[in-house]
Amino acid sequence: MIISILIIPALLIIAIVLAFIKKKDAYHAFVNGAKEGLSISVEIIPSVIAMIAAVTILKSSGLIEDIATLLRKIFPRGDYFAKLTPMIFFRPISGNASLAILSDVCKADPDGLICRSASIIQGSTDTTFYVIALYFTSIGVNKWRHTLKAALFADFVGIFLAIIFALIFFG
Amino acid sequence: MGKIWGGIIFIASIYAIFTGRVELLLDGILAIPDDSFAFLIVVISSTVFWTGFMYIFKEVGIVDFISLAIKPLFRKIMPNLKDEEAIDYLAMNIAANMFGLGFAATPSGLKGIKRLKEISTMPEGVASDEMITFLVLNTAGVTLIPTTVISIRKSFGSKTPTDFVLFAIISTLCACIFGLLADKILRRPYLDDH
Repeated sequence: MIISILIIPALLIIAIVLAFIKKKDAYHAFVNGAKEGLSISVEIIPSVIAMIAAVTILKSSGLIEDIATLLRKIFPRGDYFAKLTPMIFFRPISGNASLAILSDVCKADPDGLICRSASIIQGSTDTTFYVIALYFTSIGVNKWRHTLKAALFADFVGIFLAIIFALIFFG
Repeated sequence: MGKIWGGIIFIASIYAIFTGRVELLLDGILAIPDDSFAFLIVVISSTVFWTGFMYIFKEVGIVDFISLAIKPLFRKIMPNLKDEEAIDYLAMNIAANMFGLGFAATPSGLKGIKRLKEISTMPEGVASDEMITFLVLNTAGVTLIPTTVISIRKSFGSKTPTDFVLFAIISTLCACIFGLLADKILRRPYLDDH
């Protein structure tokens, strides 16, 4: 756990010290990077709101809740998996959607098992479909061969491990 | 994406109506702008801050250094790729992604895959082995710090918002390794059937 706490302050120190040694203007670099960050953020606002809409409607329809209740009757960890299903399903499809779902499951209990599991899942892999489509479309490749299979297998391993870690260390 | 989005909204709304949850559904829908606002504030300020912060690493040359350091790795996993220009771009893309610098990663990634196309021996429109390996590596998404997730948890009052980071890094590294293995196992010589 100590490592987790140290990563960010350590990076901060490294960045500032290196900027000092290399005589670079850290403040200037920060502002430039932040500007790029802002323009990316503004660009994704519409799709983020679209995703929040879908997630909110899905949640308020009670569908997930009912599936969770059903699964709880069938097997012991049923409701855990039911609550994580939207996260698992959306992670490879859309980064914005999975972030919206993460935010939704973390709202009630930001230190709970579901939120921690979703957090590890979010960090365990990247948006597969979007990235592959973006890169292949840019060069006019339409025969992807085994790209999707291999990439989705990587997602599967990442998400599977994320859940195992969550259950072992936070369960 | 469009079909899934529409499908979810349609199925969920119909389900809500048939199970007598129309009021809850309406409440949910009306809360969307408010919820979006709260969420976007966190996501935007987090992206602005962390992109700025990580950009210092780019400025002092750490991202270039990491990119240099992973180049031998690229030569290992893509032994047939001899083109230095392509390797430069691809390594830069992965390194920038590690620091969450998407805006710096995508252009070099696009240049990299374009270069891969130029040197590809495949017929027009067919992915080469190197393209596939690169995309598997890219979509496995090795990120040093999932900054947005930390910010979201923090905003809901988490006491230990970074507790998952180590597990996320281990998971993403394993995903990477297994993705590359799957790539190797699934790879067949491409036979043109036209």
